[in-house]
Amino acid sequence: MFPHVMILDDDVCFARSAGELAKVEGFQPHLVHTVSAARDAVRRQSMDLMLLDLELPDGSGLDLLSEIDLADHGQLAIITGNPSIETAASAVSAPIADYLIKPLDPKQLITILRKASHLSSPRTGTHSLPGVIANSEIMRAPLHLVSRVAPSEASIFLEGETGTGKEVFARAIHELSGRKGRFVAMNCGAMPAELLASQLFGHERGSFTGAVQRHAGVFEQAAHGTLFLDEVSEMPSDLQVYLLRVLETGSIRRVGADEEIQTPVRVIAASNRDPMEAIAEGRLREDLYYRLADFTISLPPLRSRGDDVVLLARHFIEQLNERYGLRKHLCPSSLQRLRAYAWPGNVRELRSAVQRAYLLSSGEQISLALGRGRAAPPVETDDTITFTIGTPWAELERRTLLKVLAYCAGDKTAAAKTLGVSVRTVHNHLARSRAEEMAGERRRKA
Amino acid sequence: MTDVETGQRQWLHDVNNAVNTIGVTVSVINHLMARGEFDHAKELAAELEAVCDRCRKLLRQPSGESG
Repeated sequence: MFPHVMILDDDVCFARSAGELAKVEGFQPHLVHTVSAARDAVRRQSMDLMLLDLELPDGSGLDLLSEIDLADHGQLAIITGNPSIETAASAVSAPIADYLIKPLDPKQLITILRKASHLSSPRTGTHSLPGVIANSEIMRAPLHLVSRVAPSEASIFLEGETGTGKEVFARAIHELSGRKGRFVAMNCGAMPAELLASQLFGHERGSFTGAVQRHAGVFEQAAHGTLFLDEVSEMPSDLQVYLLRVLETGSIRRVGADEEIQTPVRVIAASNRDPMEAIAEGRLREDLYYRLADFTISLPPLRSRGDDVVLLARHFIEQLNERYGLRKHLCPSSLQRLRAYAWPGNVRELRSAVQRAYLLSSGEQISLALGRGRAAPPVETDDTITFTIGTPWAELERRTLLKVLAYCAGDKTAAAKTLGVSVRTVHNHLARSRAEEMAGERRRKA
Repeated sequence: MTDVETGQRQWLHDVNNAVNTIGVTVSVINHLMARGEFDHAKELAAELEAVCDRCRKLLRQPSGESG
């Protein structure tokens, strides 16, 4: 799924270092040092980007242009140490995206790679969304669905644990939708119920105590754009009824107003509760949910997104490096901690942890202390046993014995020694445990 | 083009390539270090020393003399 770049340069060292830079930017590099080798490479593989040197032992990189079908490939760029008016003119007449002169600024090369990578996305079948950092398998389905439905008028309901990036996704949907209006976000759970109607639909001057001037609600603010309503199941039931009417009619009435106003808005709703459970509990109206959810997109928790956690941490560090003009990086042991931690607060918790560690680290290496003093959920290993408060004593004994036996590879004498009991005690406990299991089996069958 | 001009052109080409490699390799090393990939960064730093050596030799050599 990596985009491919061909680097044609007779300087082996430069080609290799440019190849390394391409790898860092997520490309699969193909290094070639002659026009003839380049011909073979482009026949074998469709390239997303070709970086062409002009003076080569057997010709010029420009020779390739007349020999290959450019429609099969992506961008072209010239990198030359001997610029001339003739070659620049040839480049202008050909579909060349950039003409770089050696020695070049690596930032120029990075820009070209990123541009080509972005353009290559549709051809390679991957889906990237503005502002969304994801490379894991589990994120493919939501990314794919968003890229398909964003340009349509379909309503989208985002569900996922707190901090999984629902607002980031909503913003990406808005950007891909091509809608001209603003993106406005509102958390229905963070607003006192008595103010919610006014914040959503606006109010007229004097419509209630304190309404000293007319106020446009978020629906009006997002006209022709997108309104993101987070924690929609926290909205009072009577407002849910009115919201459904607004969605059906496309018009709102400010609090205290006589007239309705047409407000073409796309609403994206979200909840960190399972919507079906919220409906069953009477927190979310079923009719409203189905109006809001032509498509329901589930955002997975960070703990199930594999190495996305590392990708995101590096992204946050790069943002901080850019802001503070520094070059800090994660220490290797932090990478292991990132992967092992459960991230109950998901991406929001990760961003906060990275920022905290970034600001507290004095050197260039960042060491992450996770959980802000809170113990990470215990993970049982081969030589540890974890119990939660409330586990019955008999169960504690049974699990301890089985775990120690497994640790001692089934050797009952060694297990007895480890536990500080007699071998007879181990045998008795195992016999009792087996008898209880068989009784349980019989009960299940009955 | 005279031999001297050809030599100068080749010398400039070689210096350009060496400086180019140094710039790009330093950028790669910075990225690798930011990712915590220190072993790979060290490998490239060793290659970088070799390119610097090549550059040093080129700069000691008068630009008209190819070689």
